[in-house]
Amino acid sequence: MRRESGKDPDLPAVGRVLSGDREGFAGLVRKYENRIFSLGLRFFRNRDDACDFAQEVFVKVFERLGSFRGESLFSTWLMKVAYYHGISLCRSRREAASLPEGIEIPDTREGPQRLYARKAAGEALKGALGLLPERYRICIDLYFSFGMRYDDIAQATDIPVGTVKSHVFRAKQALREALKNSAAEDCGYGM
Amino acid sequence: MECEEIMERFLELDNGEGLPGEIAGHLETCPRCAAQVAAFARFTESCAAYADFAPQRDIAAGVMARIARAGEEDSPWESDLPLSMVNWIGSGLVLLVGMLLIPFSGMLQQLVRDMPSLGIALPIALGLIIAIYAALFTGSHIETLSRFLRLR
Repeated sequence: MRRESGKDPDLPAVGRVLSGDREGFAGLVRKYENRIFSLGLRFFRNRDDACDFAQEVFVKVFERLGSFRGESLFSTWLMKVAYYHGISLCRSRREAASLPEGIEIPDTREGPQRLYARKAAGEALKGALGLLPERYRICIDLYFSFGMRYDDIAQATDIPVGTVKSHVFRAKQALREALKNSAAEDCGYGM
Repeated sequence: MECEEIMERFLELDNGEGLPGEIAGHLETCPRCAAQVAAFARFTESCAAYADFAPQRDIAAGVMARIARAGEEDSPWESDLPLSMVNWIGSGLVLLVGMLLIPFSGMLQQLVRDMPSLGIALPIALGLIIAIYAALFTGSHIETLSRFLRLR
């Protein structure tokens, strides 16, 4: 599926880098470093390795930028390079990918009840992830954490879009069950 | 039953997809479903934080340093070649002019009269020289050429 090039906000920057503006690549790195670093945390669960991973991914992306044809968004292509690099590193290190453990995300907007509900939902999400074969867990993570669309996940992981949809749907159903309590409190109904 | 159908349809929606009118209309009249959708939205919003961890190192600086190092090590075609692009083109032009002037050489005309087969062999040999030169030039500037063609 080819997207219109005008819809990819990164295409002008990519074009500049390809025409020789190496320093322009730093802008792309800064834009996506948190994303790739966060993906690295899934694979390695420690910040140093995730940093090394992110650097390697961006160097790889720079080297392969000439092969980027704009058939997907640059961000999707970047995630694909990162995902496969992470998978290959994990295979060599025999580590599994999952949501990062032991990393708390402080959110001051949430009260204790909401925090509890979110924690429960997070547990439910991990439970849903645990039910899936390892290869498909990334679909859920990319959908919920990285906000990627079904098509983009399919392109980044080479998993058929129907499979992505069905796994995300099942995870959503599990989440719905887990979130029912907090929703009931919000509307004053039992569920 | 209607609530279940509406929630099923809601769960099928993709990221960034707007609520269809039918679902939006139902949520306005059903506080229970509206609360579930709101709880879901809050959860997915909080999930985004899982993709936004900040690295403690300056990734961009590290990447640019590695790219610069790799550029120095891996670009012998650009930095270490004895002939630059200008020299390649200059040498090629001299070669071409030399070939074009060959037919005007009195010695060559004498040789062709003595050995008629030279009249056939010489253009073939010159053609081969041009082909080899062009192949060497293209091969040693393949990256520059592909970048040029892509930009067009």
